[in-house]
Amino acid sequence: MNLVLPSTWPLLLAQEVSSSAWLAEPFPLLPLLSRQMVIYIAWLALGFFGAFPGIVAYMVWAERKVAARFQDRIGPNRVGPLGLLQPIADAIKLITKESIVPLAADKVVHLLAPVLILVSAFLTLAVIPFGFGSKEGNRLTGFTPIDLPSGLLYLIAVSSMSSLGIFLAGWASRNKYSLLGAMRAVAQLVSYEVPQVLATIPIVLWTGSLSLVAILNRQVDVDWFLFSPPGFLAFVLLTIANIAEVNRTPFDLPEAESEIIAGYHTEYSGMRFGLFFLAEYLSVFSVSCLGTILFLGGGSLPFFDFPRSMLTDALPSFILVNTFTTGVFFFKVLCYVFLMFWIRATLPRLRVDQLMAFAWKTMVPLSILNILIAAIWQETVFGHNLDYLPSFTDKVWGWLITGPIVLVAVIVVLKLSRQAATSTAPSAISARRTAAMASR
Amino acid sequence: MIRILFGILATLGILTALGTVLARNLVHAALFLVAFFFLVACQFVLLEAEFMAAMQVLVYIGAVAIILMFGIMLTRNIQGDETTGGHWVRKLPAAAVALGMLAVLVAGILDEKPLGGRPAWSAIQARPEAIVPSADGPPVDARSAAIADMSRSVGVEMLQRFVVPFEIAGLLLTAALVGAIALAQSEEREDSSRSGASSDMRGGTTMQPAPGFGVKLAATPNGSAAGLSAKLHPASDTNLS
Amino acid sequence: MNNDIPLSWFLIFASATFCIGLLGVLVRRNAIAVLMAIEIMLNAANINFLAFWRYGTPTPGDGPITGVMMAIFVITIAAAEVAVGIGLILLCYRRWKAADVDRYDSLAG
Repeated sequence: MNLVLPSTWPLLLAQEVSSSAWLAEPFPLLPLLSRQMVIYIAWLALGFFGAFPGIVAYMVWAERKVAARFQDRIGPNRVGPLGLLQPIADAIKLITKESIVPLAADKVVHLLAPVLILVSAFLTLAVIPFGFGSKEGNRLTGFTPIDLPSGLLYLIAVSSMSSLGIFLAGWASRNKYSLLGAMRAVAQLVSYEVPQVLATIPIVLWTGSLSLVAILNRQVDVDWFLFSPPGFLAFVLLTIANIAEVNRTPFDLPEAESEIIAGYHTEYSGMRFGLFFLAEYLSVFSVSCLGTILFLGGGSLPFFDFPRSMLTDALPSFILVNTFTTGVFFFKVLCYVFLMFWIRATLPRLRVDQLMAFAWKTMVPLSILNILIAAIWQETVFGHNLDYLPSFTDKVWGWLITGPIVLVAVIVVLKLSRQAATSTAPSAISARRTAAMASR
Repeated sequence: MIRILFGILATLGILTALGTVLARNLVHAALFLVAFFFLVACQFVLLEAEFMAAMQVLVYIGAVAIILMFGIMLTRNIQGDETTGGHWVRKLPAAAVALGMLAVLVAGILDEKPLGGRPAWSAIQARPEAIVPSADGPPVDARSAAIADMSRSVGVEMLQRFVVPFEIAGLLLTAALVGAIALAQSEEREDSSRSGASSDMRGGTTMQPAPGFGVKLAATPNGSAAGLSAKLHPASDTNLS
Repeated sequence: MNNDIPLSWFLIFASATFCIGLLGVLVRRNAIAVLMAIEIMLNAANINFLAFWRYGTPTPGDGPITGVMMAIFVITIAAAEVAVGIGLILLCYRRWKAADVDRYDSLAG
């Protein structure tokens, strides 16, 4: 075989790569270094290995600061100005600590469990549109890694994988408290997944698509979905279910430290515990993104046709608009995350039977009723045609009709569930019954 | 390239399926099963049905695997080891049956005689081309539309052509839910009678039978249960690190 | 697109997994393991449905996505089957104190 001179082969390689035969690879699934591939690699390198772990680190810092203020303390202030280097110090500590595996533990599953949870938390971020990309006709494409036609379903599916990881973590540790925490966690996650999914149904109904980018486009057309009585109720339900899904305080029974040490991650130390920590805050971030996209219009501004009217084909407009919309998006996510910190710092923890009763007796009936109310809103405001843009009087009529219905539904469901709670005394058996119900 | 990908996924799928069948530890078997479900979802993506892949992950990994795990926890010892199992010689007939079945199926697939002018299965080397629909382009065939936005096609079909099967499936799911709750109810009656008996055996001790989920509450007739619970679980902690 | 996957590959993969599931049903004694093997067989059927949907020639009047709809119903029924099946296994476990299918022989003469 002839030796190719060292000075020429990079040139040949460059020619090979840049030739159109490479760029126009016929099969869409595995294009080698096509434009799309470069975009994916950029997302992976910058987003998933760079930005998102950084966001998580500083979310921990923000939570500690916020919680400290709520408790009249100062919070981390030793490492760096305002304690800003504290996350880095924590990360170094976690990496250098010894990772202890219990002797009785199932070694492989013990390692697999935190990885599974982390993968599930990362995968949810793959479909989230962080801003508005370019404009195709009248439709905006999202600034997102992948725009799946069934993105919402994908997001729910991969986030439901985390309950499996939690279960395995509890099982593999061979520890009573771990297993108790894991059982609690799985029962809670499965129960609250039902109202979480049901609360997104009105959005799908109003959009006529499961694509998150289509949902954002629809909210630029009509207003944010928050601004309607059923939309507001769905937002409240989704927020409660989100907090329960990421195991934060009022719903942190799986890791209640005063009852079962640390729940399913009792036997984890070092970086393996760090993976749990990372996954928890990553899923806080991703459910905040979900709430923002579904109800708060992503990166759009309320009452304006903003990104659509500003965006042109020119590159400066693209960069300007995307910087702005991504900034708006992250501001909204920050507000949502702050809401979760606020709830965490304010509310006490629920009891197990209260937790289950709240999911099955209050949230599920309310979210099912809310779907019906959302259908009424769809009929009165949006009409049958998905292209119809509602006028101001349409919305006033919608508010007048659905507002009282929502109020009555909330009052009736709360009253009925309270009656049911007082008429039957809570007992361990009823808690177990609801947990068993949840597991099916 | 795509063939190599298929080969990798299919090999892994067969290995994980074998792992499910042959693993002695039941939880390991369930884990292999989860991996198998995921690889089947990958096959669905190869078949350009990513809606079905998401459904597969949601229903099988998110629900079925969890139910199976719960079943393993509630029936066997907590380690999940299978204590029973025959000698390998006794499994030979089963293996012979399975291999024979495989031989019959593969021979049938490769030797299929087409009906009505359609190509034989072994002759189909590539899938029909799918057209990407565009807003101002010409209307595409139904399969291409389904590939581009399967959730819409599935929804339309569910409420038009398949409305009766859809309703029956809903009825079936409701019946399954009711049946599962009925089974769980009878389970508790038996449980409570058993735990009552055990406390009788303990004689004069005032110990409560240990509840399963860490909620220690006696079923008091009036509303004092709430006060008791408040004493047992004082205030929640809002302290952070 | 001459390097696409042939249809028969999918079919052979599906039949291989189906036979593995069959082997599991015959070999395993634990009822939950049998349930898992049945799930493998149902998944193999689903792969076939989707492969024929993608590769086959649709019959006029049969609708565009019949194979996909069949797969969806299979998934639905599998979920219901597992829920009821686990409930039954738990009941049997409580009665016979075993989860092995060959212990449930009260009706044997």
